[in-house]
Amino acid sequence: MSDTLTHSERIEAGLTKRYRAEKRFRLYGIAAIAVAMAFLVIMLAAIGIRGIGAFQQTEVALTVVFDETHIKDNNWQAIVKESMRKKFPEVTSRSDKRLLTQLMSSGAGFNLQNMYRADPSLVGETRTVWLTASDDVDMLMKGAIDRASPQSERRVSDKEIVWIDSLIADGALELKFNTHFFTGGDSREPELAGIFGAFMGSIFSLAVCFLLSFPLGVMTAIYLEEFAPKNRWTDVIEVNINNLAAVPSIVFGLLGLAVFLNFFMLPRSAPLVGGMVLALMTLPTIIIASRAALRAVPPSIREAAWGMGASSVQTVLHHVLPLAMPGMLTGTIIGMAQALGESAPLLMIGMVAFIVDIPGSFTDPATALPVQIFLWADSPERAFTERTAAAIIVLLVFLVTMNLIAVVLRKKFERRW
Amino acid sequence: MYVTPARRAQKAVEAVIKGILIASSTVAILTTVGIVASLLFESLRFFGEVPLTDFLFGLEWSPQTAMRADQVGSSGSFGAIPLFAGTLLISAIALIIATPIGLFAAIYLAEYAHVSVRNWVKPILEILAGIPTVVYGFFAALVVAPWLRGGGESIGLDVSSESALAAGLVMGVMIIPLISSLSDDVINAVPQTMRDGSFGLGATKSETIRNVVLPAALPGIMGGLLLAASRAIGETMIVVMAAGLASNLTANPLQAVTTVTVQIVTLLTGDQEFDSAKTLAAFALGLMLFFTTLVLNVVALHIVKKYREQYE
Amino acid sequence: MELAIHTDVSANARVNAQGLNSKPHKVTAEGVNVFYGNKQALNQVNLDIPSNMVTALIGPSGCGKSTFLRCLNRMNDVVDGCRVEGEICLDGENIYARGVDVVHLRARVGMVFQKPNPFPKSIYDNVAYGPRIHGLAKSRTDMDEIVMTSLEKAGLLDEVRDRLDAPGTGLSGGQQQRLCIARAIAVEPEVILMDEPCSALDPIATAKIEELIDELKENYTIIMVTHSMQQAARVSQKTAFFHLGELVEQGDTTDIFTKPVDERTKAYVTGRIG
Ligand SMILES: Nc1ncnc2c1ncn2[C@@H]1O[C@H](COP(=O)(O)OP(=O)(O)OP(=O)(O)O)[C@@H](O)[C@H]1O
Ligand SMILES: [Mg+2]
Repeated sequence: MSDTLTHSERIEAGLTKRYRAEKRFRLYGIAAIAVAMAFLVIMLAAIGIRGIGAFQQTEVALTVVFDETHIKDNNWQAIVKESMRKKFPEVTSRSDKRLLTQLMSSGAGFNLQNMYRADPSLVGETRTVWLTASDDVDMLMKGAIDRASPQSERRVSDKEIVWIDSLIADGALELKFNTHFFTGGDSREPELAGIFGAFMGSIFSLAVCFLLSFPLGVMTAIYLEEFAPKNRWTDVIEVNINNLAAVPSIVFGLLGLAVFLNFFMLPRSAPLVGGMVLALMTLPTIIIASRAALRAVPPSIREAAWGMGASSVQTVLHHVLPLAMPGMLTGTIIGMAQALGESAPLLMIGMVAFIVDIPGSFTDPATALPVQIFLWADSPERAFTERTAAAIIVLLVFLVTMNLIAVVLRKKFERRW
Repeated sequence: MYVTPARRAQKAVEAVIKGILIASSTVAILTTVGIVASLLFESLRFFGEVPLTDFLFGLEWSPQTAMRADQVGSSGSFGAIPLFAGTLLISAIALIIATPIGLFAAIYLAEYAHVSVRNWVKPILEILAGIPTVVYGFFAALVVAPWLRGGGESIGLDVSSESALAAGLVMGVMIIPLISSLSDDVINAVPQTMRDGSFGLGATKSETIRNVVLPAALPGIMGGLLLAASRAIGETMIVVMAAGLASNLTANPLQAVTTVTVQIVTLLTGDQEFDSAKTLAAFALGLMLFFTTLVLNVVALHIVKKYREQYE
Repeated sequence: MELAIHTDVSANARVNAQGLNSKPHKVTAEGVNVFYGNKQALNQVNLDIPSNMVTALIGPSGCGKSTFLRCLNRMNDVVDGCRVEGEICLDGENIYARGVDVVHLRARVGMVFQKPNPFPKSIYDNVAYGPRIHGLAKSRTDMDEIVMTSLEKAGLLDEVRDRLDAPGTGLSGGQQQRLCIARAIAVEPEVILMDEPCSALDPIATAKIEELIDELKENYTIIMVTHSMQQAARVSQKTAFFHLGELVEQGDTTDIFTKPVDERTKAYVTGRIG
């Protein structure tokens, strides 16, 4: 070639630029992973920071008299009111008195009622008990309400702050572990709202989901993997399962609404129906995982069983299935974890109502953990944001546990034939 | 050959067992049939009241006004174009965010990362896929949206508190692992000999990836992107919690738009008479959603399958 | 059969007899050890490769022929856990020395693989790939010229002239392999490494490639791995015999096939081991 640069020089000349491009490209990869991870961390941190406070609840120590007349009238809040006034005798004006009682949650009376139910001999007695404070006090204690802001801009007035401070000074106002959050049902009052109702709703739904999808999924997998002839029909089933796995979850909800509720007239808002819808949704996951587990059992095992004169059904039930079971269970747990986090289809079948009572059966109206999160996320009160985030933490803990079990199961039974 | 009664009984039992197995395998088919039938049936009732063309091409969506009997189907308030547009806008934002991140993450994991790094990073990315969408929704509505609003304000932009950007951004993060794991599979399926050919000519790693590996993997990656798009279109909770409720035909990502899934949820939650055009409209939207995602999935699975066969 | 080889070889040797040892060595390997993890694949290999000749590497499967070949353009760098010791020099310069640029090295030492591996691009772009990444063409006409000459040299031009835009993967196996050779030539390397370039091809395609290799040695130094003794005899001037990771014997092809010194070589070339 008739140019000034030799072949080798030409290559040499381009190298710096090419290596810079190489470095840049590699950096893009690292940056992409870093961004994804950073997002995960930020999201979990944002939720953690918001939610951690809800595991504590402000309580006030009050000396209460279990006054017989109030108990007869079932006016438990009056008992709370009286003991508050006794604690602050200097408060005299009507409006101040109202403010004073508003420091306590409307649930404080229920606390007393429960004590009395457990021990009726309390009538006439005087006791010092820790009772739930209102959500505004709670938010002030947790720093979500800024004391330094002007009075008109915060939900707790200067007067109230004085009372609260005097209670704190007496050691009569403290943040305590929030048991009620784990044992209570939903409530309009954030300080009284708990996740137990939603939790039970999830448990009932998942139970139905498991009882339906596991056997159905495993049986379908066995049929397709071990018995089905390779023909048009099985092709259709196969393609169908793959596509079902990618159908948006809300469409399953529409199916549940049209078929289970409107056609079969099953009860609205019931975990039974929720579980059925979730089962249809999880079915493809379980089938796909179970087929993989069956395929992982080497043919030699089947051949050995046939060689001993076992029929094909016996071979599968006695020899192949036990070996494939861990894999199937792993897939099922992962499917259940997905179902536990699913909310859209449940909205369609009415599991999205305000339900105070803890559901006790498959047909009681109920919500589910993720739906409860959705409902609370919509509430304007600051204290509900905290609880929403706390409910998310609980949900994530369950999901992590389920996935860990799946991982451990897989590790334990991982076999190389 | 002599067959004992016990043997005959066993045969009968086995026949029954096989029958049960076959029956259970039809449940998956029945589910699809059920979905198609219920969506079609209710949609046909809807289109009896509102003309199909009004629904498909109408620019105005305000189902509330249709509660008055005299207005049903007459005012064109069931025009679904704003919903389709909103869905597309948010999904497009999600894909624009997730595609480069997911793809580059996959490239790095498949081509650069040491095995030990890969073994750590992959499961962590999978966590993103395992987080329930309601959690993303919460994050989008209560954290990201206010940030965007505040950030916009500080540079003089008016960002809606239910902006398409917030929902799309968070949805994008949700589908990163989908794109990265599918692309990862596809990139790993490109035969090593192809890379060797390029290295042997003196190409650097990134040149090899850009000029040889990615073009070879392109069909598979496209398939993955279609699956991701279908996921984004059908996603419900994030948009229900973070996107708008009112229809708004705009391409501005800073404004609030509503989506098909959001409208399905709003139309069907709360107490309505089930026969009103309003609730039936949800099924018509559901039908569109099902149909669109089905087409995307079928095409995507087909592409990916073809791709796999090519290198097997 | 054996006889046929012998006559063939002696004919070949006569042609190449003049000045066989006067040419300088293009590549020299000294004390090369290669490890895959803890497993040693090559043990103390010393081998000199003369310029403008075809050197054949033969030996039973798994003996390390490919491993050695891949050391010559540092293709083993991309294999996880592979470690190379010793010295390999190209024109007297150690290619494993610090500061040696792999990219540049591979432009000088091209490679053709066992299975034809055209890129999923057009025939034209396959050949243009190397010159493009190395920035060898100044203009489009420059590139056209490089592509055409390379295809010409690889003996493929006449078959593909009217379908340069067709995908390279659409060619027949033999054509694909010649495309890969054209692709390697386009970078104007000094050495071309070929790892069993004909093993995936039918006899007619094989004959074409062999013919091509014979022509190419005028301008390039060629090192090829082959399992076919006939092929080694037909196309190579030098032969090196590997066995269990060791270089057992090397020398003129004629000598290796007619009067091998080592028992193992004798056993292999007569078909008793392998
Ligand atoms: N990437 C690798 N990782 C681990 N071991 C390897 C790797 N590549 C090759 N080996 C081992 O190194 C030894 C030499 O392999 P090599 O491929 O060089 O043999 P070969 O002579 O080319 O054989 P063949 O004629 O079958 O191609 C073999 O034992 C092989 O198993
Ligand atoms: Mg080899």
